[in-house]
Amino acid sequence: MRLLWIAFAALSLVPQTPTPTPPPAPTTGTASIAGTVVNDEERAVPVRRAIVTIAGPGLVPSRSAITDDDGRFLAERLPAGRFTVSVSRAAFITSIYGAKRPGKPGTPVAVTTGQRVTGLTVKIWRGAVIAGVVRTEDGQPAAGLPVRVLAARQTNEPTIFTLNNNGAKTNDAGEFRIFGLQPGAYLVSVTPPVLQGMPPTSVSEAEMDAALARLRTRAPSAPSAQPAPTKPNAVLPPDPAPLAGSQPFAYSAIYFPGTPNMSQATPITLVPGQVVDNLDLQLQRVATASIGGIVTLPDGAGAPSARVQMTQTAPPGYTLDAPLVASATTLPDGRFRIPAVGPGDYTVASRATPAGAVSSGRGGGPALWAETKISVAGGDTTGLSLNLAPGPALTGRVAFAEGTLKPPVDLTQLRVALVTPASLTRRGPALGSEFNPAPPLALNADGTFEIGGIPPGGFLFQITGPGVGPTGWWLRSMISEDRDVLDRLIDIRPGSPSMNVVVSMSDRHTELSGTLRTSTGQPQADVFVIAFSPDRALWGLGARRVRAVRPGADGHYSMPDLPPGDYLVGVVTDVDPEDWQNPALLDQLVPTSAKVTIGEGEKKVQDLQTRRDVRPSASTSSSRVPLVFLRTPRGRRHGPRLGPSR
Amino acid sequence: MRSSTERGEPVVGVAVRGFSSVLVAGHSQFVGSDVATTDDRGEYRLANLTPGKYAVSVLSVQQTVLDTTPEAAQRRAIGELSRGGGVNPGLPAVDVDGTHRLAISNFATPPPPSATAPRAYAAEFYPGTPTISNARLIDIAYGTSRRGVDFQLHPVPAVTVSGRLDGASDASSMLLRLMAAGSEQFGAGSEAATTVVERNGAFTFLNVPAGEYTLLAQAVFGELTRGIGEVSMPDAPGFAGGPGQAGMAMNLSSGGLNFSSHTSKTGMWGRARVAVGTANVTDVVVQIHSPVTVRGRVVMASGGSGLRLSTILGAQPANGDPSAGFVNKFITINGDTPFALEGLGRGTYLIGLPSYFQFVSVASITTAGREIRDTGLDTSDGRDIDDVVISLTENITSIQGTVRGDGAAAAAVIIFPANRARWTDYGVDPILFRSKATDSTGTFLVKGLPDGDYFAVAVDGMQHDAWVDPKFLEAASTVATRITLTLGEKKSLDLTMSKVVVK
Repeated sequence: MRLLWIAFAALSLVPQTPTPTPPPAPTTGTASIAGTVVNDEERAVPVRRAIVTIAGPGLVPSRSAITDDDGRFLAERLPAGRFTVSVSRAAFITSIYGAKRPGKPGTPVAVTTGQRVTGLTVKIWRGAVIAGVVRTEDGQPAAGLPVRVLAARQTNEPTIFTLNNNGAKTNDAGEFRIFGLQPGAYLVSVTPPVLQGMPPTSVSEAEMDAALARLRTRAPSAPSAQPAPTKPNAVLPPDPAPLAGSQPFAYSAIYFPGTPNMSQATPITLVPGQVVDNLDLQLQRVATASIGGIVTLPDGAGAPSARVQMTQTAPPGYTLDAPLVASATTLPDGRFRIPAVGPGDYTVASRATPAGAVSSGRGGGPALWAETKISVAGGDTTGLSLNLAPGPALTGRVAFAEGTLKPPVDLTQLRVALVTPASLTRRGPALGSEFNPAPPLALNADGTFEIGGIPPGGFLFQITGPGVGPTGWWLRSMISEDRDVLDRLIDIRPGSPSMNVVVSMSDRHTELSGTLRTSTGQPQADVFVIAFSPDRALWGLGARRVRAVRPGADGHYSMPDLPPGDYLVGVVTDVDPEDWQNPALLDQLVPTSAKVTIGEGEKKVQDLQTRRDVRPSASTSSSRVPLVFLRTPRGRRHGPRLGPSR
Repeated sequence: MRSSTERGEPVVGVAVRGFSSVLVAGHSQFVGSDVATTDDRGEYRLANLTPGKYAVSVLSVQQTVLDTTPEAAQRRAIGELSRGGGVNPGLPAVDVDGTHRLAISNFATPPPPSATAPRAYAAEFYPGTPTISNARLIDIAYGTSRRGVDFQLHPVPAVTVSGRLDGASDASSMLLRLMAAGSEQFGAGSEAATTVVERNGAFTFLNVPAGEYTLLAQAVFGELTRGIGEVSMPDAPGFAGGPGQAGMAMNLSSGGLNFSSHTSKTGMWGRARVAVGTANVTDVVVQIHSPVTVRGRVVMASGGSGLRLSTILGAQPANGDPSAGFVNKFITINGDTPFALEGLGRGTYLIGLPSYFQFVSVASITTAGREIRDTGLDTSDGRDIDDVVISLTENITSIQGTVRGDGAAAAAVIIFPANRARWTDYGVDPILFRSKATDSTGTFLVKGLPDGDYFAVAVDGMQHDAWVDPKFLEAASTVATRITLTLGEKKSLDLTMSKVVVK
């Protein structure tokens, strides 16, 4: 759900005037928040010298406090508002008040003017540690090499590995230690520096001796009275041809437990605070292969100057965020060659601009695409064939529904774009695929647009610009052949047909809101409220009819701009944000959910009451998510009479 | 090796640095090594150290930022030492009095600020002393590994130091650095405290431990470092540059030293002594001085090819004190070219081109009819100087020759000025010295030395950087060959290997 959440946030981004505004005067007030920070041990111990940060809308800049020797903190001079209270400490995971698990969303704390909130207990989890030694192939410590961790981020499926910001360099003893890690699955790799130019080759000792002997006969005999050459030492004559019989090799990136092939790497799963300190890696020289083939145009002719890109395949069940490995450009006859490819599973993709068309730069304009998968194990691949097919276009018109707001006068100020879900959630630096979809495109004055040459992949549609936002226009629907394309990822394959759509913008905002109370009538905050479509076909990656929020400390929850329609509303005590899109979880929720219908522009208020008190659970497996029965305030239970017996 | 708090908990994510003593411009100075960071066990490891005697310090800067400072500027003010791929702990700042915030980065997190009894973790040198003069030096030879250089940090009482700048029109957001007395030459990260100047010229340092300090308000400051440069220092607010960037980063001719400097636009500077005891210090007045500007012309000697060249024109403090900074400017010289070097402090500055720039050499620099190329320009009266004429020549000198004797193929040819007065105070990028390795046939070539009288000596290659020690020069001068170079002279010079022993 995190995906959609961010997608919606992006939709509401209204570019402001570019002139920098002076920093707003710091907000101040009379409220205060006090509490204690404790650790995650069974018998929680106060944590001293932790940094508590209070942040939220209306508080500029954010406020921080340090805990004293008894773990207590006090943040004063706060204005009224709803704030996130987070705690950080080196080697711990920055944790939010109310979070069930480290690094997960918490519960905002609401304060009114002059209110003194006391007694907050904020739990902070110790981060996990991955440590070990990197050695060269002959067992020597390998110093100064970057060790990286790729963190698994679970969506529905497959799980995406993304480069974590954490990483370390080996020290002079080859040791590395990465600490403060969130629990979860990680791939650990060490990456030797890339050697430029010709791949190095290995030669036998006998060949080396012979080469040295040849050198000796050429070298000048020690100090002589000859005039000095301007450059010291005799230089080996250039010898571009590798020695006969030599095998090209590379120092490949090595993935735990010791494979250069990422798809054979073993993810390491860490629980909070776990220390894995024997994760040793040994560098390997791997035989490299040359990958060659031909890229052909739709008419069968070789495609000149086409870009070819190789990306790495993740272990089974996972994908990678930005896995660029190598790229090349085809010769005039369409042939290409990528040298020095280490073992692994790869996707080879190609992009070309059709004859006569002008490429509008990075990914824009009409384009032809092809892709294929290969497995490399040291032997050269020469006959790869990539047959280009046109990338489809998305054409359409943006229409503004009649309402109270006036449609924007200058539609060319609005931008439309297709973005990948990964680009919205990427946490680490992108390794960079060259084959991105087109950058945001300005609408024509009449509201029409054409996004051409769309690359293969799954995309979300975005519209941004002045007047688009929570108080302005929102993206109500995008209809193609009677179907709302926005409900799911837009899936593009080479040769997919082009789409013509009508994009409807509306100023009639919907909202699903209400207050969640326990069976005894107390506001309930430490749960998630999930609204989802009853139609299973509308679940999954990119679904916008599935949304989850955390109520505030007063039990109030709000979901703005859900597309009108039928929804089931459920409550779970403990769920990973990434699990919200997991169909298996939603299936479990169906029997205990309340049904609501949101009409066009409707502000639906649905108060909810849980039928029994929620017992916190440390469950991490979505199959064990504790479900909670819902009751309406009048006590009538919705949904079939299924679920755990009492 | 390990650091812990008064309760024995590990101190995680704090910066640790080694300082070794080197000779710069004939004066002994401490230079910083790479910065290490403690891990989750509180352990650190300083590696790749050049052999020498090291003082090891846990750094701890009490950083004050203003509540009105935008978050981005606060990040810069906090001056987080960047760590390659390390965990970014975030850069929170703790509200202290509604106006000033105490920023926390990769230094030990202090106890919560208190109006009545604030405490701070002071920077300390091994073994547990606040000043480098009391530090126990650790002798590091090639291949040495020293364990057990442990620290236990204790919070100490701290006070607030406040005052105002006098004589500055607008110094708001200028960075002020409070340095332990005797450590003024240390660079970013070695401050006891930093703060930024408020709009009305007032300033407040929070959480200052007791001690003797020098308050530095400077347009330009620099530092000498030695290491592989894995750590980069941040820009202070209002300052541009940093190592290897727009600020001058210069490889000294010896010992792998780097000089980096931070430059501000304002150009103002001032310093004040501050003694801090157990009570708040409230009325520190820092007299702010205008910087000195040096103007003049660069002229090419006639008879050249009339080439147009782009280079750096710089002014470096003759005594090599990095804290005095380094002013430099890109300049395109095309015939008779005016120049202005702004932001100099008071003292003696050497003007010229970087020593690596050898297409042309400086024939002379005059002001008020006096030759100052080798002696430097005196700015101690604080007045601007407007009549500096720098004469360049394309007619560069060269010395070429062969070394004979044992070890000639791996010798160092050292050429140094005959005038003893030039053996010190030659700045951080000396023009009058050359140390050149011979090639496998024992030959060498030295280009671009200014005209003048020199000594030349061939010594074992291991002594290639021994010239920084005036005692070595004294001993070498007794066995060296004395030469005179005239403008544009192409000299042949054969040398025999000498043994120079410094007593």
